[in-house]
Amino acid sequence: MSVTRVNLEAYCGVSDEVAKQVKKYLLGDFADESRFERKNSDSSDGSETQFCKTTERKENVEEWDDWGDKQDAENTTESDESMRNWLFRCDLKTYSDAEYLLVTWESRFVLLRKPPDENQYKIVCKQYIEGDPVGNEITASCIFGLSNVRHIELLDSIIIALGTLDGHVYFFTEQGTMLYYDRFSIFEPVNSLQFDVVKTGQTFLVVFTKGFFMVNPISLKSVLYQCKVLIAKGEKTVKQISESIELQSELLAPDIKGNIIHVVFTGLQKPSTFEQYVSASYDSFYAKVEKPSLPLYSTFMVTTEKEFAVFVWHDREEQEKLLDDVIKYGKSLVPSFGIRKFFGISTEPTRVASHMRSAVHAPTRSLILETRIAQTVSRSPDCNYVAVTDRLARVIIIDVINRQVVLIFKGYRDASVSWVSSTQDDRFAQFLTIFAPRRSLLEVWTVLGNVRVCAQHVPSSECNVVSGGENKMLCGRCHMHTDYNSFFIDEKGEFHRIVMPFHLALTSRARQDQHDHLRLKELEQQNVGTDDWFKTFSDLRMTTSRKITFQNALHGLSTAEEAHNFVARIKSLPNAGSLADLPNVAEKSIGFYARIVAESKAAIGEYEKKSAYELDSIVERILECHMERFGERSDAVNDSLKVGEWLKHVDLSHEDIDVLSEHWSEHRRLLLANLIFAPLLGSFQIDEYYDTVLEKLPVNRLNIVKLFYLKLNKSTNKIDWRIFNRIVELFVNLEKSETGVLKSVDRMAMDSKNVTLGILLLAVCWCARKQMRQLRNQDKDSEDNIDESEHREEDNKGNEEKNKTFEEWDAVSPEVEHLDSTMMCLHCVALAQSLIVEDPCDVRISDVAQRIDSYIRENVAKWVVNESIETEVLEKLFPRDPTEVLAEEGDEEDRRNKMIVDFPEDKETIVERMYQMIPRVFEHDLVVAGEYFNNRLFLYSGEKDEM
Amino acid sequence: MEENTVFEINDFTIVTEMEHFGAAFEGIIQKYEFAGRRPCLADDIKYRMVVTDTNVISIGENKLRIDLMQPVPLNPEHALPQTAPEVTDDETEDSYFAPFTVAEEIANTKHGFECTDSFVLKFGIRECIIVSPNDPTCRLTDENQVNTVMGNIRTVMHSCRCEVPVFCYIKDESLDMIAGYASDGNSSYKFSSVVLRNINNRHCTMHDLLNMFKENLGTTISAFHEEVRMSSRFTHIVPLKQNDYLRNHTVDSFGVLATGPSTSLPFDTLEVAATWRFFRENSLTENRGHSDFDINYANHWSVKIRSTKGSLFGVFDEILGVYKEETRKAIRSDLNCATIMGKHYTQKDLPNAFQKLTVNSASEVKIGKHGEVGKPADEDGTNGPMSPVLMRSWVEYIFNNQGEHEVLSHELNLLNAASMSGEQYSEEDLVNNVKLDTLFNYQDPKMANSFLAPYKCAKKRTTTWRLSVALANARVFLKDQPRAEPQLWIEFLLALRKKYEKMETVEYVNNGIDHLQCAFSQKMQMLQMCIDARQKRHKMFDSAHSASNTSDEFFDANDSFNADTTLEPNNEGRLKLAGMNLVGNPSEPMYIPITQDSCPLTDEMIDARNEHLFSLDEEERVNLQMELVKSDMQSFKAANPDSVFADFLRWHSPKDYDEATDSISERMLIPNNVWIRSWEAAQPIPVASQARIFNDTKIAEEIFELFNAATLDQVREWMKPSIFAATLERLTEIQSSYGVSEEKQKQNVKIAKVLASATMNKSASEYDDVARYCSQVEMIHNMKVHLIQLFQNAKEKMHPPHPSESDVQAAIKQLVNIAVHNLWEDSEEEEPELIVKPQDPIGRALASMGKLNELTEQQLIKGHRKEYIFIWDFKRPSTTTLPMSHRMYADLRQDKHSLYFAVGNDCNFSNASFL
Repeated sequence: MSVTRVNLEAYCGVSDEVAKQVKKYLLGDFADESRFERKNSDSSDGSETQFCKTTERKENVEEWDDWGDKQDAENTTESDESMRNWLFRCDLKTYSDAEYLLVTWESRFVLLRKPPDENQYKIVCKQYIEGDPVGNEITASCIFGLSNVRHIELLDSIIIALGTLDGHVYFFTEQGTMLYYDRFSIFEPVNSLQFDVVKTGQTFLVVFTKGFFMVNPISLKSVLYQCKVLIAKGEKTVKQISESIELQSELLAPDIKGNIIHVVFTGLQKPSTFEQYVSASYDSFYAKVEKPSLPLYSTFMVTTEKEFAVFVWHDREEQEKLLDDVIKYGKSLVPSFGIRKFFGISTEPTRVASHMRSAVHAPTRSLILETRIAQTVSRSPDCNYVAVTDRLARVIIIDVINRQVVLIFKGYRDASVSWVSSTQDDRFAQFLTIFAPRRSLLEVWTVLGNVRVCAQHVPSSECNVVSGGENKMLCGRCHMHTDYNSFFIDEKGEFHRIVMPFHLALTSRARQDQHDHLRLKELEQQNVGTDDWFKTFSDLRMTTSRKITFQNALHGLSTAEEAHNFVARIKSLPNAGSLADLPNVAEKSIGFYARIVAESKAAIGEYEKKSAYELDSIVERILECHMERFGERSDAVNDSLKVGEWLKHVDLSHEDIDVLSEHWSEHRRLLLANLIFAPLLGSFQIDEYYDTVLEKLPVNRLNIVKLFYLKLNKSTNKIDWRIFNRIVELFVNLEKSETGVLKSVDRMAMDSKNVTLGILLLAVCWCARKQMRQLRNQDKDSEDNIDESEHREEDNKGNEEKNKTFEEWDAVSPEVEHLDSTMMCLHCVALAQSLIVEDPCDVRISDVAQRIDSYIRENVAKWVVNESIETEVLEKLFPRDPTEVLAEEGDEEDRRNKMIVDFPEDKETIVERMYQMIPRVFEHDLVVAGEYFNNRLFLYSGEKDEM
Repeated sequence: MEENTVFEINDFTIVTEMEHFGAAFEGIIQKYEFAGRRPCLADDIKYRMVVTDTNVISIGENKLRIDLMQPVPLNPEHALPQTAPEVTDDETEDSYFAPFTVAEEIANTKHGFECTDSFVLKFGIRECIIVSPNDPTCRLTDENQVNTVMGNIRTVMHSCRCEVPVFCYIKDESLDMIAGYASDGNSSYKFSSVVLRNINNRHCTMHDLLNMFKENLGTTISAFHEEVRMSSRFTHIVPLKQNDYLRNHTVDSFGVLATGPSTSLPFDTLEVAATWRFFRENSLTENRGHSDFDINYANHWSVKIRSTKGSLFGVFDEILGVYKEETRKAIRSDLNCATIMGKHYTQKDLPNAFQKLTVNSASEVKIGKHGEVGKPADEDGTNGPMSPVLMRSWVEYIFNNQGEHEVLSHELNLLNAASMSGEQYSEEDLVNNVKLDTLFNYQDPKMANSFLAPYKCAKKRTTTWRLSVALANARVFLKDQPRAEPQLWIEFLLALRKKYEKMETVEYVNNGIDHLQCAFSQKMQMLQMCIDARQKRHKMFDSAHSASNTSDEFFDANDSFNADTTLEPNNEGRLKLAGMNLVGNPSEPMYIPITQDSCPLTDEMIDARNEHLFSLDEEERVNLQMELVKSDMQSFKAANPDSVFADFLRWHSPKDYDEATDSISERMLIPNNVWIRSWEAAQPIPVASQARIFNDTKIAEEIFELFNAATLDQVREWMKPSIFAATLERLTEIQSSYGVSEEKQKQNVKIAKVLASATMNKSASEYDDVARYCSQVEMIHNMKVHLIQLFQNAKEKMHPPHPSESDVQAAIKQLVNIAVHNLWEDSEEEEPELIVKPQDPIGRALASMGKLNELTEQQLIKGHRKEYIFIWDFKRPSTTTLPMSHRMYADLRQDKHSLYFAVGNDCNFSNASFL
């Protein structure tokens, strides 16, 4: 059974030196064995007075024997450890989260303190009670803070209260100065001393076997102050003070049969009218509730040797209600004369010793009819529960509000129980820690949910759990929240704070969203993929939060490999099942991504010199030139989509993603395009690439084309003939699967403002068309061709005369003719554009197409104007008689070969190149080009309307 | 990830007694598989909580019963939802959490007063485990015991994560004091109750209860809190102004079996439970001085009409009750009726019946002495307790003597007046009374003169029938006169005797005794036949005596006596010519003799005779059986002196003589057979001289003797079949007054068949069944009739629009159903309800009926029963916890105040700032 380990936070320890000192002091120089033996015989007496002591110090005594035997070996480390161990098995009292530690032995005590910035305890004081060491043997101790006179929230000093065998209670300061003592009994030892603070009140209890004193805290505070002042001033001795000042207290004798073992102050309770009626109903059907006002009770849970648990409700005295005001309003306690007298602080020797007081009967509200006997008790931080261990190896939780047992843990013999609290904002959760020494097991449980939130085995049974002690102050405000801590003392005597994260309290399903909410916050701060992350992730309770977290984590990943590993790890988690198909889907998608990326590596050494499509040499040269120019751009993004983003946005199981919708940013679109078209540049076989990547993409063809255009337009990739050929092949594939793709590419080319891009695209389209036609010719019979040509005739009315010159059966499509002219013209356009530096590309090709000649001349003119070119240069560039150049009409091919296709730096050279290329702007070439453009524009304008 | 494998400590030891109890309880929870989430029930299906299983656990010496209450859909089509989907560690279910069912149920405001299950009403819970003492000696009486037991239960619930609430009865189970608990480990609900005779007056109104409710949740009223949702129900019981019904006696009502209520009207109070559903705090106010809960503006009413009387009886119950073993036997059974009458009746010195038996001839019977006219009638009648005149005229009425009706009518008026006296009746009461009278005593003119089934009882319109009805009526009408019934019987006997003497018709006889009628009826028929026989005999004597000229001086010849005999009276006892001549002496004509009639036999007599015959040996039996044949032979011989056996056969048994062959049948030729022997032994004696076979005098006297000596019980027993038949017939008659459904008709016929079988077999249990049925149906009829009248009165008083007839009928039907349910049906079945909107016509009619408009504010505040449900969402114990619903149900009755609280608590968190 896998459970969370208990979160132990190293707190502090006791150095050997300190331990030795403490031991030495406590045992005294005269540590002879006879006294220890006496103690042994005392504790095994079983007499009533020893009863309680036995339970408290049982283990202590066992250890003592050990130690006594090995007294000689005390200098070895081993004995030091056992000694230290022994130390913490003594009657320990803690205060303020174990900042102070009180160790008592016989009539001696030592106070240890751990300063906040250190991790070792230091001895604050070593002190003993003077007088008869037997009668003054300390049987009970208590440590608490005394609030400041002026400001009750400030700590004035630490008070140590010690009860002795002869019924005295002594009060010391932390420095070991005795302030006051009073005798509460002349024949009984003090069973226990308790200073209890609950949210509505506080009380100081002196417990005996048949009853207990409730010492009025205000009176106690006044007394202690007086003593401090008087002793500091040296006006009176402790003895004088103690004999003159009276401590206000009340002896309560509850209605019980057995001797008291424990008394737990469970707070003040004001029953509601309804509750009054309920208890009246228990009495009799004819009972009546007449009292109009509701009484306020101090409630106690008392365990005795005969009764398992008795609930004592004591009507609060009038003066105690004053305390409510103190606590409620934070009033400083400056006792007026009247009140002083009332509290018996008057200096007149009217003092009545506490042991002279007559007992007040305290009624029992109810009792639990169980045949157990309590061993130890521990009240929960919110006062609603008391954990009790008994001698039958049980840990029992009692609901003190309803006075019922609510849980029984079986099989925890000699367990130590303690409470731990945890807060989240203003919510407060409490946990019960149980240390079962027989099983060396430390467990933490929620209270009513009966959920073991963490557990772990500890190496040794020589450990213990002590509560940290509250930061409680006499007459201090107690509504300030303090965490309630417990400390685990390991076998080496090291203190470990038991830290309970709040989310562990959220165990029930109704709370799981809250639990996950807390955990998710933690997850945000952790790096995805770390062990912590996986640990927290597997702790999530709700499926939805797991799913979302999983997805978010995926989205943060950058490489496919990382993603693969991540998913594999998720799948190995025990609760991965709740993610259902999600990891598989993700894995598939990652695989797809990985494939794309893997195939995108550029092929090396596979440079193709020429186009595979029998292009005109001039076209080839122009294209080559432009490809080179295309690769020179530097303003574009070359990153591609990361796997996380890919998973975030592209769901392969999706029907269709509208990548051009507003949800897709331009940037992301580009990244996607970069990713999916990366294989074009690689060595992936185009057919396979098309089938495995583009076909499977949930993006329709048209959008693919648009993405492609986007990629070309926005990203820099060197294009060489190999890539060019691959692009053509790709388009052939696209056109095959959906006719009209090429048309749209054409249009995009025409709409492009980048002439180079336009030239490339147009060339690609031209090649693709040609390829398509070849394929068609191979595949289809002549009838199809006739249909095709008819269709084409309708479309291209302007070309009728031209078409007549071809043979009828040979299907001619003008879009695959005259590429050379087109290219040359566009090249000139590009050249012309490069003449003008500022905004060279603000016109679309289609705009230019109709007036290439004028556009070129315009640009030349602009250049001339802008750069104020001299006339003679012009004369030189543009000969008056173009016929000179045109003279050699016969050898067109030759002329073309002579043309230099490049983008020269010098603008004059540019003009020369242009002139060289299209000397006769109204001659054949230009006409054909214009016709071509007109034709195309006409076509597209018609289609545009359709769209 | 590092695996931290630490097994939980599993210790199954059981040490203390309480742990024993806990283990046993845990076993039960495991058995029912109650761990984990429970299914939430659908709202739109109606459920009824049913104890589905019971276990007994001992705790120390005591034993506790653990009942499992589960909801069962009223409509069996809606099967229970299966238990919540299995909760595994990696639940594939999405963010939907099965909620804590108890919390959902408590928050459900639909669990209002519509639910009749007590746990739904009290705590809003529809599934639970109930712990109650197994026997009354081991009740959980004090808080310690309850806390200890509940604590152990809580321990078990927490440790096995059982979310079904467990309730524990405290003290007497009937006190309904309950403690309970439910938890899902995260939030818990504590159920507690207050049951006191009276809670303080300060807390008896809604305002105060609301404060108490909030106070217990640890808060005061604040504007920032969500408002409390409330429902309330006030039950007011108002008397229906109505005097007791007084029966108005008329001649007609004497003729039929009485119906209607026996002591008082079925209903005298109207109970209206007015419900206000789901209103918000502050929308309605009720405090000690003021109440907004005006009954006329409630959401709806649940109306009941009740009787404050402990038991309701109809007349039929009264009539048929005497036949039930357990019911009253007011009059000593060992005395005959005459003795019962005591001083009110002195028997005349009648001649002993046996003296009369010695008289052989009619002439010796001194008829005239008793039949003398003009003698004072009361001389041999009764003189109390009822007016003898009434009795006598009633008896005359029984004998269907038309002339006496006026006297009866007059006497009845006197009787009515007597019963009226002493009480004040307003005009309205009288009108009401008359109305009720006509309604109750409905007579169906078309009522068929036939029975629903062939009962073995007196036929309708016979004297016996009327007598039985009259006796029953006497018992009912004159209930305060317990001697009326025997008085009537005695008067009847006197009249009967008188009529017998006068040879008047006392009973209708058709061709011999009708064996399909009851024993008493047969006796009456026998009596009539005796009278007939006597008359005939007298006539015969006359003729015989006149023929021999020895006239009987005592015999007063009756002039009117003119029998259509064909022959003059003669000595030979010849009746007429047979139309043939004798075989032995062909010249002589054969006469048919006057023969004796055979003795008519009632069932009882047949039985007795059979018994006698069986006791005889063969010879004697044959002789006895041949008695009539012998008499015939003697008569034949006297009439035909020369006749032979063959002649006798020709007359008496023509089959045995073949006229064509003149031969006697072989049967008769057997030598020495009984016929021949008898023939030979027979002397020629005419009938008039023969010993009488049908000794009518003897039989009649025997009957009279029997009647005279009869105790009242005997008389009642004789009447039993007829009374039952009459009751059942009357029942169908009165039912027809408002139309009888086919189903009812079938049921009637069925019960009639039961009665037929009962009359046949004299089966007491069947009679009881019939009696029960009759009294129930009559009671229902009475209720209906009463309600019809109430609604009619209300209609007259209220303003239009009046409720439609069908509405009224539906309301009446439902009200009767409720009453029937409360009277006779097991409490297992859910009580039907009549839900009425106060402002509907029917509601206003009811208001007018109970004068609900006139209720004062103080009356409203001090209703007979006030119930409230409070439901509030409030964060408890601190403001940072989830809001939870808390619920209180307060039930304040006159003599018992109960509060039931379901208070939620978030048990894991509290507000840190308070620590």
